[in-house]
Amino acid sequence: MDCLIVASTEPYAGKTGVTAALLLEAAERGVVAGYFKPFGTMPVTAGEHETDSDAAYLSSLAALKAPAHVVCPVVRTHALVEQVLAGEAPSVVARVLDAYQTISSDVQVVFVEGPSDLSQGTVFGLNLQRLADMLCGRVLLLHRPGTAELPEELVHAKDVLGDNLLGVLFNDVSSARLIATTTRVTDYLDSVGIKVFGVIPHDAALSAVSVAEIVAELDGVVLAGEAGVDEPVESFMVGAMGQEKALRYFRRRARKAVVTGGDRSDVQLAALETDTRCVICTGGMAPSSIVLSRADELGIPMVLVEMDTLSAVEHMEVLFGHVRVHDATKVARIRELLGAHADLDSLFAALDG
Amino acid sequence: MLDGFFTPETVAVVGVARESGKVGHFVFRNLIDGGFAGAVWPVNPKADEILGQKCYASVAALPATPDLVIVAVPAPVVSDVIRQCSAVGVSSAIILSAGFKETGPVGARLERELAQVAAEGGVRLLGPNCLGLVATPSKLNAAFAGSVPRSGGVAFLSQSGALGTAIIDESASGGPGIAYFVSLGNRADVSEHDLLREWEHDPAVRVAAGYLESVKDGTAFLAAARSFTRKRPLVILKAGTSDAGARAVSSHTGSLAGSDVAYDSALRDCGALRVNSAEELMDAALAFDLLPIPDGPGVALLTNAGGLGVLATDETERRGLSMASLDSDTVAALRACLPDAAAFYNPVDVLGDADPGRYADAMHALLADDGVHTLLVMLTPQAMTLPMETANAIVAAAAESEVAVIACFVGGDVVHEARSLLREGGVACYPSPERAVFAASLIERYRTIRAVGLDVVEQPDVDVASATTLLTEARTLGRPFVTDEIAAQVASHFGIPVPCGSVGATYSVAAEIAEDCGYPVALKISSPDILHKSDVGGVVVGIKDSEELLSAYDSLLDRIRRRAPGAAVAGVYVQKMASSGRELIVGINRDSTFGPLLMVGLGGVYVEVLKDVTFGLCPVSPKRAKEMLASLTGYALLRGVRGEQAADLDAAADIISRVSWMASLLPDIVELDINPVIVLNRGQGAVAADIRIGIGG
Repeated sequence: MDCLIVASTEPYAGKTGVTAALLLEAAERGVVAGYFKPFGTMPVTAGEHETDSDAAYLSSLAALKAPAHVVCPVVRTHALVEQVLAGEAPSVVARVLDAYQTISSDVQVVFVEGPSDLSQGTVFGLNLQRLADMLCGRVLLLHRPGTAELPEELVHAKDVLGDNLLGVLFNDVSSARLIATTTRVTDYLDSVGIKVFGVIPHDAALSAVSVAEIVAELDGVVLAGEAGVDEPVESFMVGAMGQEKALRYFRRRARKAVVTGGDRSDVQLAALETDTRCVICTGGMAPSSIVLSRADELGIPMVLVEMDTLSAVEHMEVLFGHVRVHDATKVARIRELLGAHADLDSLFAALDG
Repeated sequence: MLDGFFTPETVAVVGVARESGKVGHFVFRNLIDGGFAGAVWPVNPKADEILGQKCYASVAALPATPDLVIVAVPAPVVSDVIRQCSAVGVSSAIILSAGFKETGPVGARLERELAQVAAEGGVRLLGPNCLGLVATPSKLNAAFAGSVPRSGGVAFLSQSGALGTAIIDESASGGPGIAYFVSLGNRADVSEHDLLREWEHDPAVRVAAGYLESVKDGTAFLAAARSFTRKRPLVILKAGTSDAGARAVSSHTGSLAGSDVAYDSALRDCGALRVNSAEELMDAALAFDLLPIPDGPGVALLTNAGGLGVLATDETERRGLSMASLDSDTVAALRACLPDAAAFYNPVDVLGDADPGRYADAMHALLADDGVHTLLVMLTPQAMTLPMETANAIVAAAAESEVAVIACFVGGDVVHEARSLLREGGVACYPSPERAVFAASLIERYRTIRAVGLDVVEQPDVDVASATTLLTEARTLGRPFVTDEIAAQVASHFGIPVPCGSVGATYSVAAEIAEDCGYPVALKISSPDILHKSDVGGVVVGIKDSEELLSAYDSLLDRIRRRAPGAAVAGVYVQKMASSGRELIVGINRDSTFGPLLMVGLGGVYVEVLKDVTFGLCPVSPKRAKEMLASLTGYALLRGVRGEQAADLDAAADIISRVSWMASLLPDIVELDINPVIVLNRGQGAVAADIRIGIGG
């Protein structure tokens, strides 16, 4: 039995998605795999137990036998945080080890969704370094290259984890950084003994939310174009200019939502002329019926919301900043990207060893 | 062919109510009262007879297949009526009924169903939600307007039914004579370009005039309009030019008003004449209905009031018309027939006591002058003036001449009847010198359009495939703008000269590029996240050697780190500095109706302030590109001032034309700016120094 801990250098680096894709990949390769998340941060209730929402999703996606609260035995609830601050941190290490025992009993490999960075879980004795030692696991570290010019976080991780660091997977890499990352940075890491398993480019579809999710978040009503409510939306723009400028501006983004006043029929039509997935009409002002007709013809939802444009934008920002991969299409897309841009054969071969 | 609409022999009206006040009943009565020679059949299953005519239960029950069916039943049952029409072979139907896309998604679905039923059944549709149609040659009044227009040569199309009623009423009260009036309604099928195609060959049409808020299909409209204007004038009033007006258009017709400069360019490029008010539309219609297209540009003015003469002269000059220089024989003839106090040169003043005979003599003298192609005859009602008799004299003189004679009778009740008499006599008469000169300017503009012809463009030798491949690859990265390097390569494939340059991801590569291209060079930050490089200090120019390059490289990246901390940087774009020259800006924006729109202007640092720019639809020929340059206020700067050499206008025009072809042949380009195009002195060429290509999201 082998153990691969999928961890990252910062939150929202793609751990859940990559772990899910690896689980499916393992199944296809005939490898019996299990999934374990020792420490969750997104509490949900599954039956009588608290567990983590990512863990619950992955359990259902990969049809895992173990119940969700075993898959993720410790969840950072408010109560737990307060206990820690009151100096009453419970001992959870034994619970984690017990659960891991159950998960790992009849599988060839366990994919462990690990901490979001090197320090997370420290107060519970569950940080990345401790976990790797406890579970005899090796770490696949996900890293989104930011603005730093030198990959110091990765070199630091190597110092901390030593041989437990199996390697690094660059994720969500912008087009401008792709070449430098695949050449100079990879060569450098190789020279300091850090294996790079792949460089996954940014993919807009992965950070998308559906029109229906937006409607729910904004408490909106779909007035026309219901046919398009399941479409993914990758970004949003605000329209407050004249129709000519609006057209030019809206063409710059595809698969977007446009937020504008309900009385701005010119902006709404300009949005409908470009690659738009929904139009959010704010201020509780219903758009003109002829614009609704056009939207309906195109199958683009017109969503009426009571809040003003500013509030709607704030809600959208939160929604787009915290996208979770609870969507089989997105997991399939991550598998495609891994297949194309990561050396999965080497990764699985390393696990066999 | 739309002859079923304009020359039917039999007409059925479906949905004729027994009582008056309903649309169907109104149209049915208009058809009967209008004197239509063929059969008119009312259809109403609940009535036996309406207005003395036998009523039929359905289209199928009619004695024969009607050529035209007018439908005034509620929207949900219109499709059924069209199915019945299709079953018996009806080819044309006017849908007066409202309740379609103008009412919302449910109505829009009904309209789509209607359009589909009609298309499948071979029935052409006018409307729905329209006022109907009037065809005076066949005495067909199939509209629910309250008046009957005078017959004449104007074919009107209107996207506003209500404005149409005003046009018809003005025609009836002595305005332009109408051959056809068509209310377009929602344009589920028949639209403006279909009508222009139909009218192009119709001898009853002397001019087409339209009120439009949008064009349904830009390409089809341009093709139809180009073809039409070769034969007849086309006058368009395009509404929705302001931001607020555009918003009103959006909620009136559910279509974008479109960019006003795009409409302006489109109408100019297809040879149409654009007017700016309902009054101008009617004045233009009257002019083209009654006036011949002149043989030349010379305008002569004849007046009985010096003040009018001066006003008209000012307006003539302002409108860019040419005041005819009178031949010495003409002046002699005028001297022979006018009092000594008269003015014998253009404008000719026959004085306040002029009687009809003096007007007639002066007109004969002026109409005999080969340099006079348009004659404006003005009158104010002074004590000795005889307006009616003078009007008769003008009608008689005009009838004997090929010259375009325009009357201008200024005043109120005293001249009112004389104006009507002039119009009845086939002379266009206007109530002010400004409006009369405007009419003269329109016929002159149309004469020029016909004489000069429209721009003929030939595709230059360009490598579309390679450019397309570059843009397709760029699209996969999901960034709205391509890099400087790709932009320059795309331009090169279109034969546009660009400075030597490439992206260096490291200093050593940047230094190699600089050596290869040759100093001096410019450095520009290469990052898809930075759109306006100068704003974040991402451009350094005038780097003379490798030492300066190193320092510029370091300081540039430092600035970017501070001012654009989140930006992903691919490196620096190293570009050879172009020699200095005069600067142009060339831009492309894609209009929702007419496609790529070219902008050309004087470039440089004051471009935003001076806004000295001109527009045209793509593609343009180098010849047209030169005309665009010549139309700039600052054109003199390109020609050279105070001993300066002229700029290489041929090279500049070649770049402009090639850019227009880029936009036409590469649909991936949604916007483009070249600022500056550096134009060197004549014979030394021009170069596109900084190209920004937007490919959208």
